[in-house]
Amino acid sequence: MEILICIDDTDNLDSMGTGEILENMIDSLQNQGLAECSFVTRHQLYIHPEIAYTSHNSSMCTEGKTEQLEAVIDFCREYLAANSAEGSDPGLCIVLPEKLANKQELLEFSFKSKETVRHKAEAFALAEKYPEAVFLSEHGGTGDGVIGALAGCGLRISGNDGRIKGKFKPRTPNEIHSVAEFCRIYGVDRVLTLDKELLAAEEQLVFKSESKALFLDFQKTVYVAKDPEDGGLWHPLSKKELPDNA
Amino acid sequence: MLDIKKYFIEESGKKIFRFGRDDDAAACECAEQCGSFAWDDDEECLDDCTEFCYNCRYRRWTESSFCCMKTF
Repeated sequence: MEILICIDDTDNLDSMGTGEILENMIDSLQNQGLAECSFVTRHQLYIHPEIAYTSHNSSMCTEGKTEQLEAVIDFCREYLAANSAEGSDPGLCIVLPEKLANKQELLEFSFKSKETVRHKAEAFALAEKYPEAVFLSEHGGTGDGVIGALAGCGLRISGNDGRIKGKFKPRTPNEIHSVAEFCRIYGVDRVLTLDKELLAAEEQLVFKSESKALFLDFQKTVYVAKDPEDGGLWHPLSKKELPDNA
Repeated sequence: MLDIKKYFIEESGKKIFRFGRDDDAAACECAEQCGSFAWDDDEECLDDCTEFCYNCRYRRWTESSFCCMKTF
């Protein structure tokens, strides 16, 4: 069965980041043969003085497959309890999308979490409506991380939110590729302009510096722009060049 | 004593960077004078080469700037 695993508020100012904790947890899950997981997405949530996020108020999510759901849930809960940083407020959410009768309700909660203050009780109330599909748990501190953990699952299910953890760099400076070559070499699904126009496979781009993929329309997507100094070629945007809402 | 207080304003007991989220030069100057700069988790940095407050693990973003968590 397909599963989503999302964690939030596991770090403090001096600890390893939530993304690294999730990646380590995934490695352990896979090493023990409990689940196979794919890439990690980072989902930015609302930044507001009322929200006591530990450092960035972003949650980290992966999706995968398992035939041992109970063992995965137990493992993730124990892992988070043992590996979250002191002073953090960790939350874990595991969702079975195929068993979620009303995805829309989760999506609404999740996108609201990017723009408004949500509360822990609201997250648990939603999870309790779908006991066969949503497994939400807190693991220390205030446990407010459950809000971001639940929201992160919804945002991943939407297929239209977040940045893909990691980055890719040109193997040689200023290398020039067709879009098709670039996608094949760097494992990207598609290349879009900032106007969200799909760049054709034969278009040329110059890969100058590290870039970052987004999760849009369920695809690993790279944005490009044109710079006059590049002779009219497109170039993949760096993290800093990405739109604020990306 | 380093004068990095000039880069911040006090709001409700928090030290808010007075130059907002887009003043790279001021954020570089401040980090250079501070001496406590430490790289944040890679996912949270704007790039991997600029030692400025915007890449520091001791900043917490606010809606319009960031709050510094170091004591000075």
